[in-house]
Amino acid sequence: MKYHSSSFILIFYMCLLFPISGFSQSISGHIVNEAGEALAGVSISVEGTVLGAATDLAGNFNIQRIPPGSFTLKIHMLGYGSKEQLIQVKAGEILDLGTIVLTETPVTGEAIVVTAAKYEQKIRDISSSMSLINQRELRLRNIVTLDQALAYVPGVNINGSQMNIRGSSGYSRGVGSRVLFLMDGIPILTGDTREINFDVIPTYLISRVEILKGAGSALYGSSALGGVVNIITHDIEQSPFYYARIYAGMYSEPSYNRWRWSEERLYNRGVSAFGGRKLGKLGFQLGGSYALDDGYRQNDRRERYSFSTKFSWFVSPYQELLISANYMNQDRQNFLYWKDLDHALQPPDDQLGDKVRSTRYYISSRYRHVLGRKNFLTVRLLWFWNRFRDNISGATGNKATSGNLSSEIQYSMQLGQTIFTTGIEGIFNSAESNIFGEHSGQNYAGYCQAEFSPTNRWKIIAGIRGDYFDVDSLDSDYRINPKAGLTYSVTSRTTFRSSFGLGFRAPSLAEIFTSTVASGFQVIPNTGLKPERNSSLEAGLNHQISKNFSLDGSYFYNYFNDLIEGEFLQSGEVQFQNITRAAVQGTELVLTGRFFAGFMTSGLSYTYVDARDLDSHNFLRFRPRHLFYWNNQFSPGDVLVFLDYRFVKKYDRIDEKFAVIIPDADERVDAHIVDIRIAYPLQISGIPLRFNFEISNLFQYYHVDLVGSLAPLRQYTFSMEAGL
Amino acid sequence: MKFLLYIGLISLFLLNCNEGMSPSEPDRGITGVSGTVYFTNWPPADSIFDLRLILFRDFPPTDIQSAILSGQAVVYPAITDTFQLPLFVDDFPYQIETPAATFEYFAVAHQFGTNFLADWRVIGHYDISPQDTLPTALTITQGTLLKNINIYANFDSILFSL
Repeated sequence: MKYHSSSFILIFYMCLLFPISGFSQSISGHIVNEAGEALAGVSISVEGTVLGAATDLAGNFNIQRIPPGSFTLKIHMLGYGSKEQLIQVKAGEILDLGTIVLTETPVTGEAIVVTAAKYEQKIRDISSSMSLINQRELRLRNIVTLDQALAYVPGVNINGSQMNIRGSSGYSRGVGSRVLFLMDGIPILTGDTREINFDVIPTYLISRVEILKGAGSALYGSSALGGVVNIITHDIEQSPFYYARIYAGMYSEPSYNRWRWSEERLYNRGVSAFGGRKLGKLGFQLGGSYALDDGYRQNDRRERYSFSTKFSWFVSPYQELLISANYMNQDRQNFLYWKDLDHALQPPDDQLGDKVRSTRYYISSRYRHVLGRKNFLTVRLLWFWNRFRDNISGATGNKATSGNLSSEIQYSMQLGQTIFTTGIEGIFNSAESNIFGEHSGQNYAGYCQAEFSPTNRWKIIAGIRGDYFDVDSLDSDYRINPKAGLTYSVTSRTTFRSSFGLGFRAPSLAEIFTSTVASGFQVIPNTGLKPERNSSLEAGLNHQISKNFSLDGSYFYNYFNDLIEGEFLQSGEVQFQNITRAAVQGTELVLTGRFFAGFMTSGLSYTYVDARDLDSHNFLRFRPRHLFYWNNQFSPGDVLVFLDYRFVKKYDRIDEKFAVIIPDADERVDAHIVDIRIAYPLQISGIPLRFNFEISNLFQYYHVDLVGSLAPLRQYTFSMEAGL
Repeated sequence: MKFLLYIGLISLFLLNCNEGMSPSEPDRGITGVSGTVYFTNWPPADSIFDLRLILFRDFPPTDIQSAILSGQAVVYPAITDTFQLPLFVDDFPYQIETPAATFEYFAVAHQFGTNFLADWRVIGHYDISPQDTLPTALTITQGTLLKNINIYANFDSILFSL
C-alpha cells in the first residue's frame, strides 16, 4: 500500500483554512522568581486562543496579534507555582504587564500536562500516575537518544531499546511495544514491528516528555497497555532563537584484560543545532544533528545524522497550523550478544561484520481551531516511513520497508462543570520485506470521554473507545475499552486518585508474519495470533508534606490475558504466541524535596513489581522486581552538580532457552549505576553558554542490561551548549 | 562544606558496592600478542578453504608441519578448533595467547586448495621495516601482551608459499 502523504496533508488543510485579517495588539511582560531573578523558558498562553510564548533568557515575553477583549493569561513553569492573570486588551493597545513574580515549588503538582485527557490539565488533577522530563534535564544529561533519559523515570526500565513501565513489557527485540509512543499527541510507531524508534525524534527538538503509567487504550487504542509516552516538541518562538550543542566523550577501558578487545581509545562525539523565528503569521524552525559513537563493544559502532524542520502558520488568534518533518539516516554495526563471559565485549566470531543501515522520516501536521474556553478542534496527521537493510542472514541479509499513517480528528468542549472530548482515528500500516512479506493493516477507532467536576475537590472522568482492526489476509477484529477515574482533594495539600481502564494491543505485522534466521535464532510466523488485553487498576495519594517536600504513593494492579511473547518451540524455532495469563502488581513511592534553602534538591523513587504468570506461577521474564532511583542536584554558586544513582534488581527470570544459543546466558547481577555531572553557565560576548562535564557509570560497575549484553562502561563526556 | 559532606556520604555508600560482574576466572596478565588484521582483495568464497594466523620461531620457517604439531609454531585458531577467521571483513581484531618466546615470523596463512598439507600461502605478515628483506621478529616475555601488532593481508599479494 502506498500513501501520497504530503499531497494528502496539503489538500486536507487547504480545505480547512481561510484567511483572517491581522491584529495589531500585543502584550509583553517580565517574569522573575521571588529573589527577583529572571526566569527563562516560562510558558505563557492566552486562554481561548492558540496564542502563547515562552520567556527569553532575560525573562521577557511578547505575544503579538492578540485580538481586543478580555482574556485569561496562564503562566506556568515546572518547579514554580502556576499563575492566572485576567487581562483586558483594547484595540491598537500595546499592553505591558510589568514584572510578574512566580513562587518556587519543588513539587510537580502544578505542572501542566496534556497526555492524560488530550487537553491541558494540572498534573495533580489526573487520575493516573504521570512523570515528566523537561528540556533542561534532557540537555544537562547529555542525552543522545531519548531512551537514555527514560531510564531515570520512576517505574521505568529500559530492556535493550524496549521500554518497560511497571513490569508491562519483557524483551522481544523491540517488536510489539506495550508502551504507546506519541509525538505531539499522535502515535509514531513503526508500521511493521510497531516498535518505538527512540532515535527518530532528535532530542534537541524535545520540549518535554510526559510518561503516563497504566492502560491508556480507552483514549489511545492499541499498544497503550503499559502506558503512554508523549513527546512534546519545541514551539516556534516569536523572537529569533537558536540552540547549538557539541560534545565529545571517551569510554574507559575495562578493568579486566580478558575483556579488552581494542588497542584504540573508543570515543563518541556529536553536534546538533537548531533555530528559527516567526515572521508575521508564519514561523519556521530548522535543525540538524550528527553523532558518531565507536561503541564500547566490538562491532557496535554507529553513525547517525538527521535533519528536521517545522513550519507554523497562525491563521488567526484562534487557528494554527503546524507542519514538521524529520529525516534520519543511521549506519550501525550489530552487537546482539557476547561471545562468552570471558569475551563480554566481543560478539561471536560469526557475527563480526554484521551491520544495519536504517533510514527513517516522518511528516507530521496539526491543525488547531480554538472555538472558546476548553472548546477546540484538533486535526492531526502523521506519516512515518522506515527502511532498514542488514547483512545478518547470510549474503542477502534482511530488508524491510514500512509505512505508518496515523490520523485523528478531536473535538473538546466545556459545558458547565463538564469537559467533553470525542474523536475519530484511522491508522494504516504497511510492510514490504523479505522477513515479513508484503502486508498491510488498518485500524479505525472512535472515542469519547467526559470529565465532571461536581465541586472544586472532585474530578470524575469516564470514557470509552471502540477499535476495529484488520490485517489483509486475516480475520478482522474489534475491541471496546472503557475507563473511569477520579481525583479527590482531601485537603489543599493532599490528593487521592484512582483509575480503572482496559487496554489492548493488536499483534504487529512482524509478530504475525516474521520468517527469518538471525544471529542463531530461527523465527517462524503465527497467523493465529490474537490481540493481547489487560485490565489496569491504580490507587494513589499525593501529599505535599511542606513547602519543600512532597510524597507520592501508588498501588497498581494489571491483569493480562493472551500475552504475546516470543517462545522457543521444541523444534528450537522461535514463534510469537499468546502464551499466558499474567498479573503484574506493585507499589511506587516518589519523594521529592529541597534542602538547605535550595542548595540541594533530591528526588527518590522506589518501585516494587511482582509480575507472575498465573498458570505456572513463575515470574514473568525480563521484569526487575525492584527499581530504586535517587537523583540529586547541588547548587554551589553558579555551578550545578548532579549525582544520580540507579538500582535495578537483576531479572528473576530470563528465557532459559537462550542458554542454548548464548554462552553464559544466565550470568547477571543487580545493577548499581552512578552518574555525576557538573554544569557551568557563563556568557561570552553576550552569548549564553553552558559547559558540562559528565562521568556516567562513575564506578565502572559491570552488569548486563539484557542476556549476554554488558551495559555501557564508564564514559567521560564534555559538552558545550550555546543559546540556552 | 555541606556539599562535600553529602558527596562524601554518598560516595562512601556507593563504594561499598562491588564491581559487579567479572570474567569467569580471576584475570591474570596474558602472555601473547594482539592487534588487527586488515584484509584487502578477498577472492571468491570457493577459493578460501582456510585462513589462520601463525607465529613461527624461525624465518624462513622450516619443517612447518612438525613445528605446528609440536607446538613450536602457534596457530590461531588452533588446528583442533572448528572456528575460522571471519571471511569478507575489512579488519579483524585478534588476541593470541602464546608461550614466552621469540617468534621470527608472524604470518596470515591462506589455504587456497583442497590439499591441507600443500595448498597454503602467506598473504600478509608482520613487518614494520618493509625496506629490508626480513619480517619483524616478536619477543614475548612472560605475562606481557604485545599490543598493536597489526598485519595487512592482501590476497592478490603472495608473499610466501608454505
